[in-house]
Amino acid sequence: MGGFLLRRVGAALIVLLLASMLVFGGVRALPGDPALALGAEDRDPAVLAQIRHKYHLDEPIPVQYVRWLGLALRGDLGVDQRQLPVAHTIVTRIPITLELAALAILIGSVIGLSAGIIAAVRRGKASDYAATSFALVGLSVPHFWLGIMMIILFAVDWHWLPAGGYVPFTQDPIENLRHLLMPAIVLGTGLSAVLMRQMRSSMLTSLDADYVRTARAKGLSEWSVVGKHALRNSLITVTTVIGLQLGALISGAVITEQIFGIAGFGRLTIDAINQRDYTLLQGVVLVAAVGYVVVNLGVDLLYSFLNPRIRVSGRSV
Amino acid sequence: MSYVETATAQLEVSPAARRRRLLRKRFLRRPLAVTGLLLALAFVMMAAFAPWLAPHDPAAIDINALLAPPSRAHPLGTDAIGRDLLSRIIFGARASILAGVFATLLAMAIAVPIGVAAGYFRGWFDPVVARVTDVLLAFPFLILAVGLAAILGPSLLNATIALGVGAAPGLIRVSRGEALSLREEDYVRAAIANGASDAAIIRKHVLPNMMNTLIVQATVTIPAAIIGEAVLSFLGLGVQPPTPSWGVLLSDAQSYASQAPRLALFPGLAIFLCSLSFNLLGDGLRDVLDPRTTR
Repeated sequence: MGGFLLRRVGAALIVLLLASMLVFGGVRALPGDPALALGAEDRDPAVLAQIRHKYHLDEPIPVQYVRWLGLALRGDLGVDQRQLPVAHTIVTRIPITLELAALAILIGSVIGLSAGIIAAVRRGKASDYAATSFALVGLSVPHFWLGIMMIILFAVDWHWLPAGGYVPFTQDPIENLRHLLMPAIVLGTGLSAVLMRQMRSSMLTSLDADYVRTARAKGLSEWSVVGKHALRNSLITVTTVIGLQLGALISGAVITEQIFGIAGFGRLTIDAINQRDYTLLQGVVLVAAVGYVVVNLGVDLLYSFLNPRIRVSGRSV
Repeated sequence: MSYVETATAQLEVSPAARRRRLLRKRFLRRPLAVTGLLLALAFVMMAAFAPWLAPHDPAAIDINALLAPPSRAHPLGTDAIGRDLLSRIIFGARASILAGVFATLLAMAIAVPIGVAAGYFRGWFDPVVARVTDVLLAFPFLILAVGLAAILGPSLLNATIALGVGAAPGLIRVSRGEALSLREEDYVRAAIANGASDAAIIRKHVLPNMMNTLIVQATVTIPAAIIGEAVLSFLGLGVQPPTPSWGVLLSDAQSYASQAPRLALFPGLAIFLCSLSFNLLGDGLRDVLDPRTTR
């Protein structure tokens, strides 16, 4: 187990190192001169040279990279165009997106898993077709359009829910949830569709397995056969799928926050691109990649913990 | 025709042709897949023949009909500056279909050679490819596409390139995995033993056998790219107004959400139906091409 753990963490670290190079290089490839952006109105070459020197933009790219990485490892991501520390801005935005993502995962899992279980148990019946069609629609519908239509219906026409914005949970829990309900549904739809399909197919496999037949033969109630035996084994696969969907959730959060005017991490990404704020952008993308890799590493380890066979075969590779 | 004659006639058909006929029969037995195919074809036709299908010039401004509700002259009404919504949606299909199809082709053109080379030849190239795809997959698809589109500058061509490159890492992983497992097959080992060249083995054995997977992957990538194009254009990183694109139409519609919700409803429906059609087609093909399928 120790060797397995070390190898997985090592691989993740290498991925992160390469990702940081890609982020740094990619941001350098963006059109527009950061010195011009920082100099605002001032086009005087002497002033620009001074700015370049101050921000080390006159150094070779590899030197800039090492300096940036060294500072990033100590939690210093530099200052953005408004002279605010990037790390601080990111830290204040992340909880908002995490809350949104957590609610979306909750909504997505509850809908997706129950629909998947019902579809598998009642295979070939009307409820199976209903759940399967729901998943297909959930996969095909553009989520940002779903968001726009929900705003038109529930906020503009019926005034049930606020059209956008964010209220911190600590300030007003009820308003906080009212503001996040629509965005979380929009973000959770895609997840629920993917989970429904996954749950249905793993449940169908489990329900065909020998141990379920044995459980039935022992005369256990259908509830206990489905709930205890088939479901428990299907949940292992579903755990990984939730982890793998994290990338889609981050992508979804970008556009969802844009539509609902939520000043979270995703909105910060778009703002950084639109304002050509290099320092901010590379900080944001780096943090997104780190989060993604770390969560997937966690899911990997959790999966191997739940399923010992992976652990054993992982050692021999 | 007697029984014997029928049997001989069937024997004369080549195995490949017999397989094609079987697959066609299986496909036609799936109403959802057929619906998906017809709907997808309809969208492609709509894009191809937009100038003949659209009732109006998509840029023509009708000053007497600003934000006009649906009427005989304008079946879906007009937008804020009096342009016909239906015509703009029909012309908008061009950007979506072009981006969807060409981004997928680009992703395949990048991913298949790299993935096959890595999976088939292994050596030092394979771990390098595996790590690089891991790195690229650490960036969510849309973030990657948004970043690339920002680097390249906003236009339909650049959005298509960004979506294609963004979709490539996932496809590299799939084709690498396929090549990796195919090279262990007995018939590939037999070909190697017979002294066949690598190029011949890849052409005759590896590529044809991964075709099914690639076709299914393509039908999944196309709708993702279609939605991706809409998102990029919506964010101002794709097609630039006044050229109509479904993402641009949705972005314009946001300001008139209360007066004319149909401006957001119909372009979104178009994106939804278009991506649904490719998803239905993909699901059908996956079932039909799955060797375990018996029906």
